[in-house]
Amino acid sequence: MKPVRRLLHWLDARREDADLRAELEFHRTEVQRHLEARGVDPSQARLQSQRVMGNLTLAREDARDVWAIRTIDVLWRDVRGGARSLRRDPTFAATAILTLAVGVAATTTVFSVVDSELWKPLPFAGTDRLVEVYSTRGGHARQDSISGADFVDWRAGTPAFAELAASGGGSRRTLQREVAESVSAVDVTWNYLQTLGRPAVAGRTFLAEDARAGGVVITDRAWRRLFNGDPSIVGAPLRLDGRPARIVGVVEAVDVEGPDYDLFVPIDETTAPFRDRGQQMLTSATGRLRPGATLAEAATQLQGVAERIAHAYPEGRTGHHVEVEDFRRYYMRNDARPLYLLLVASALVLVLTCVNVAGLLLARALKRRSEFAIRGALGGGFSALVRQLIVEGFCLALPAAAAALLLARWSVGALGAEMPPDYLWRTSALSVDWRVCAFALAICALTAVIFGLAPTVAARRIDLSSTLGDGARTAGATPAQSRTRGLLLSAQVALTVVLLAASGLFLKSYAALTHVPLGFDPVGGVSFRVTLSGTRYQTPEQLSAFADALQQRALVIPGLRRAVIATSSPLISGAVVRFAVKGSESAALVPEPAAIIRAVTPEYFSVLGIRLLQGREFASSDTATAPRVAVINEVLARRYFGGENPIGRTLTILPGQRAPWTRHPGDVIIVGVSTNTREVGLNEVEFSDVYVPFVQMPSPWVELIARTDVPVSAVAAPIRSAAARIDPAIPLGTVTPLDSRIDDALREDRFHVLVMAGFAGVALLLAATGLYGAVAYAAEQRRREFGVRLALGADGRQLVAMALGHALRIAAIGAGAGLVVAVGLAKIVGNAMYLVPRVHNGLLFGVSTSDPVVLGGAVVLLLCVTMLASAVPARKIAWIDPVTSLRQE
Amino acid sequence: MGVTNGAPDLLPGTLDLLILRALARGPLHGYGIAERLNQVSGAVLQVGESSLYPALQRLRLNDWVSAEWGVSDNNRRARYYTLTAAGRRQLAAERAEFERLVDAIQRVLQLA
Repeated sequence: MKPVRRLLHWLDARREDADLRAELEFHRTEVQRHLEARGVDPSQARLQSQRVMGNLTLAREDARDVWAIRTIDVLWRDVRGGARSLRRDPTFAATAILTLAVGVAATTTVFSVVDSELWKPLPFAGTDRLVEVYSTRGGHARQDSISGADFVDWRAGTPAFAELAASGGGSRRTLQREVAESVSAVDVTWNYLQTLGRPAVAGRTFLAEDARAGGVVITDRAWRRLFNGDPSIVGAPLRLDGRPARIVGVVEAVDVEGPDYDLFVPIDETTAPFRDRGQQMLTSATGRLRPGATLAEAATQLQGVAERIAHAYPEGRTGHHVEVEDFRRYYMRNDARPLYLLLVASALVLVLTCVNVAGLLLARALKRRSEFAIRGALGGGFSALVRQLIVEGFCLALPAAAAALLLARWSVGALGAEMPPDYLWRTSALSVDWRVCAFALAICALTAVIFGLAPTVAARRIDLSSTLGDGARTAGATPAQSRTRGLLLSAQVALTVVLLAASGLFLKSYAALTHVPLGFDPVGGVSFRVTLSGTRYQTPEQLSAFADALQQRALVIPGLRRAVIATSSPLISGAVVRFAVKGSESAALVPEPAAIIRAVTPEYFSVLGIRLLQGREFASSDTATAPRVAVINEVLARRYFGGENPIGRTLTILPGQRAPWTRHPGDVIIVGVSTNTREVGLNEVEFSDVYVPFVQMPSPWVELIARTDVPVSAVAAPIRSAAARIDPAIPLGTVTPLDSRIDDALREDRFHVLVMAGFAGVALLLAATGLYGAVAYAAEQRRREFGVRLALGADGRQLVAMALGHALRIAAIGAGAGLVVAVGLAKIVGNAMYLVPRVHNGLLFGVSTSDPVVLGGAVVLLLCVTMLASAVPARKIAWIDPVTSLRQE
Repeated sequence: MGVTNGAPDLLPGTLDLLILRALARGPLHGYGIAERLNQVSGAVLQVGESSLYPALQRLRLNDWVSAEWGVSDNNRRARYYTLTAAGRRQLAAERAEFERLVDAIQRVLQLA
């Protein structure tokens, strides 16, 4: 209880002190009264009472000391001392705090992004028991779709799972209450949400009967967006793709791999397609392990089931096997290279900041040598000095951390605004949370305390006679100390060169990307996309009729010249089908012949500006009943036909899996070969493309592509209303210019250039201030020496050149080291920055990591900045007046 | 701590015991405690303020006495100290310890 009473006393110290004062005064007046009662004259009595009482202040202090909490008092004294000593040197304090704040803000910003993306736990209950189950052929093929029948067998044959759930591919559907809204929906087995541990925030999750009763679950995000979070919507009747449905519950939206779906629709497991082993309706399966069961057990059990299935139904299962993987690892295997790049760059900035602050603190320790020496001479203990330095470190760290967090709050917002929309998979809202705050504070405190202590602790024995004897001003830094300062500066320069080189690489890569041949002409093209769903778009004829109507109505819109319909177009990817080449030797060498398939109307190639190398485009004679034909691209021709002429050859399109409309297997005759187009990005592994006439493989994905010579805004409304007149119930997309896709495709690279340039800019600024400070410090320290030289007739310009030469030597050493580090890092990173198979994205394009122009440019830029930063303080040397500088002593 | 104003030195810890004993008969203010000790000891023990007040704070810290502001005989504000239950136990314990000590000293003085 004593500590509590002490603390209460401490908190109420002012009142306690007043009490004590009043009490002692009462005591004195009682003594005085006593004396007066004995007949002493009142004025004499007063004086006498004061004399008798002795030293009241001392009595009060002794009484107060009884309560004193030593550590708090001492700490408080140190804090005040620290703050006072920083106030005496405001330039140092401001520079150190600002430097730390900027460096830590940069790192904190990146930390908050990477943490929320890679390190924060997934928001599912008991994620450690979740596993992902999939079937694969190994190699680059990631995973196959699963038939409902296979899934049911898996579920029945694996007692290690408490639950096994599956989901199908996502699709756009139409949800209608009053107005029709386009929603992203996913088919799931009814136990899917329970398996993942996602509770309902309103209503309930699925029951087994929901599949047949039309019950669906909506995410809270879509609930708010579409229905303003109206609770009465739960249970209310609505229509999903024209069929009656009912929202039974609301779950929180969770972004694991891209934004979450709007709607979960339970799969009816009793339907024939679900039971059909040939129809792979499911794309992923997720299991929750029973308590005590291990991943290995589940894998063994599943392997057994899979073998039994493969034995009973061998068709198309050669080389397949079932894999079980930890859920978290499975979903975290996205391309995290950009995040690690940001992390490394920000770590370099952080190291640079630390080095810079270390240099500042070292300079300050040198300045304060006489202060410390006097303290030592007066008997001040070493531990008291260390304690004071630690407290001073915190006096720097706390304001720096606060400033860094304010900066980070702003820069996280700015980064979020510049970031391409699909840059992150897990993050819908970047924020500065307590993890980020703790991170910033820890870094600030460590830096300020460690580097504040280091110089003094290293020079533990302060030579009193030399420090105090000569007068601190004339005694410059010792050779070891100036060497340390020089090294710190060189290290900053080296790190800056690395960051400059990195941002140079990204800039050059960006420039190269803007010159990539696209394979099509985006200028003056507009695109409008619609996804048809529901009972009215079931047959190929219905789909073709809509596409035809849209094209016809578009052609009469003023300002639109030519218009075609396609399922997709360059730079927005498309459905993928597997195929086989009839009667070809070379095709057998490729294990997985797959291509992007695109159903297009005649004139597609000429309207998009895609050149035909051989053969013909589709014509109106290629009707639904005419022989099935195809145009392939150059890549497909090269990969599967080698030097042979593909015209007239036959491709067998195999049953599609994900997109239902591609389930028109059969033979197509190649009638043309087109040039390649960029399909998903400017930096991609080239795709094989198969084009088929739209009427021969109609699809619910309808994209209208047209040429216009008026601004997009002028034709947007007419196009949308044309579609609405055909069918008022379909949700309308937006009309976008084709060339905006190139901007979108470049966004990530532009973002990297911006971020890297930002880091390099901060680095350059820090290095420049460091060099400026060093030259200014040297000029100040050697003022007397320079004065003597000038008095003896030295040329002022020579002295300036000498100071500049010193700065340039430091910069040159640093730049050399930086080049070595940059080239070394490039060796370590190797090809990891470039395009890798299956990931159609590389961080760098068209530039070598040891590009001489980039590396040379970084060094030249750095040396120019060095000259500028050191010329300003060096110039002052020439203005030294020998007379005053000599009289100063 | 020591007693000032020319009084003889007390054995260490004795001041606390004396104050507790003085308060055993009822609440007193600081001046009252000093007076009481002076009177009862026949002016042998003159406790100075410089040791009395720190000692009172120490007793408060240990929760052996509590302090309350009240009104003195001559109608002035004074801080009154009251023995707490813990203080009463402490008094008994210290008293027993003190008697044991005095007894021991007596025996040494008589025999040696």
